[in-house]
Amino acid sequence: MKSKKLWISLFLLYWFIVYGLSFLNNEYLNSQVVELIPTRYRMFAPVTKTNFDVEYVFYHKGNEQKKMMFSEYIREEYDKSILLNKTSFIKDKLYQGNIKVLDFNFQEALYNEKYQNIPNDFEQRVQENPLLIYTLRSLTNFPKLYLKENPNLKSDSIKLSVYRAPMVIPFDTNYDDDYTYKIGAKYFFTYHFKL
Amino acid sequence: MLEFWKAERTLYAPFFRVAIGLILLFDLVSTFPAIEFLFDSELNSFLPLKGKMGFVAQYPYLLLSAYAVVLILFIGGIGKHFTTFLVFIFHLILVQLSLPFITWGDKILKFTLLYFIFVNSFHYWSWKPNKIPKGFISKLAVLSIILHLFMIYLNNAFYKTMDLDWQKGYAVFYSFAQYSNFKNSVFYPLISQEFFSKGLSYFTILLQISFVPLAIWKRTRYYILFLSALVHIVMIVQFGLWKFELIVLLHYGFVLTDRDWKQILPERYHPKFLKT
Repeated sequence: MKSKKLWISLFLLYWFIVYGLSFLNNEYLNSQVVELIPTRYRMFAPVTKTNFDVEYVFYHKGNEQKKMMFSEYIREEYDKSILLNKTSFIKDKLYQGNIKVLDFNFQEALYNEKYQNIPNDFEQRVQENPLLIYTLRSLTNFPKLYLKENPNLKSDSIKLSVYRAPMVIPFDTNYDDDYTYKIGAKYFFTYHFKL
Repeated sequence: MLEFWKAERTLYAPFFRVAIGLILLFDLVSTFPAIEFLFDSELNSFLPLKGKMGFVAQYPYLLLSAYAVVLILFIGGIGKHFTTFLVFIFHLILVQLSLPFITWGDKILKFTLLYFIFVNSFHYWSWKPNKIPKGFISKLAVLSIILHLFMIYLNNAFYKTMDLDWQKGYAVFYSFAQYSNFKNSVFYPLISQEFFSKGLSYFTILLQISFVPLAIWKRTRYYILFLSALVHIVMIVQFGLWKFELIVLLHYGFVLTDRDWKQILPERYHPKFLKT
């Protein structure tokens, strides 16, 4: 009976702490315990208000061999078979999933430049921020996979251009209460690299 | 209110074990075609190269095959709690190796599997079945799974009400618009309509706020679970996140008590374990 009470006390204490932390808006504290207890269930669904795409141009000895959009490639992948759906999902997330982070940094750098007179450091961030380094590497990894999947395509260098387009709300087309709308639709990042 | 927390919940756990085992196994098998690029550091910049994870990542076929065997044992109830523990460990490893594409379902399941280690789910659909479980720890573990589910709903409701896009009623449109085929989807004309789109946003918040009290109250329990299940089924159709949606749907089964399950299933269909 005594051990039962002890178990109940521990159980209540555990859930009191878990619930308490989950509502505590402390990023640092949450990041310390996120692996140990369930917390930070903030499924805010709209993680971005911008749609993205990447254009890849394959060159061989200076001549353009092929131009493609990632969105078209991934749509064809999803259409292949339901059994390959997971593979398509992994490709989608692995090679394009982090572009929103790249865009967030682009927006922040522009915003700082325009409203706070801080020099635009976007290029520097891409070289120094670990997450952006991984993101750029992912963007450059995709054409390597594509060349593996299409051995007939020869290429020695690739140019990638990342496109952004704010989501236009059909029932409020003039809505611009977010910096993404001020920047608008454009290619905001290009990178040319050799294989 | 007290009835909800004191009620017996022994019937559902074996079904959950088999169902979640099959989902994880299907998900694992469908990961095999991706091994070639997923475990190649030239093609996956997020692949760990150092430490324990780096070592494990060197042997993807061995890792995934061993996990598949463990899942088959888990589904069959062989090895009981120890096998459940191994499923939890393998799930943890795979979550660490697939950080760029894990879903909320994987994150939720991580803790559910941790609590499920202590749940007695071996009295049917199991090799050498146990007698009907009356274990106290097992009961606390099932309650933990329920509290975890409730916390997910309360957290979401809380943070959604704090968010400007949800307050304005634009969040549902943004959520759908993230998906590339949205404009060709059957939902596009509906979600593009202001009244419906905003209504759905506020309905989602209301559903999440009211989920816990309505699930606890016996009279509304079936209705709220049915409504929430419907939302997740729509999300399977539109977003294709079948694993996440099915994981959440399977959690609902724990909210129902043994008495609820006996009421849901007509008596003539009651298998042997329901008559006990």
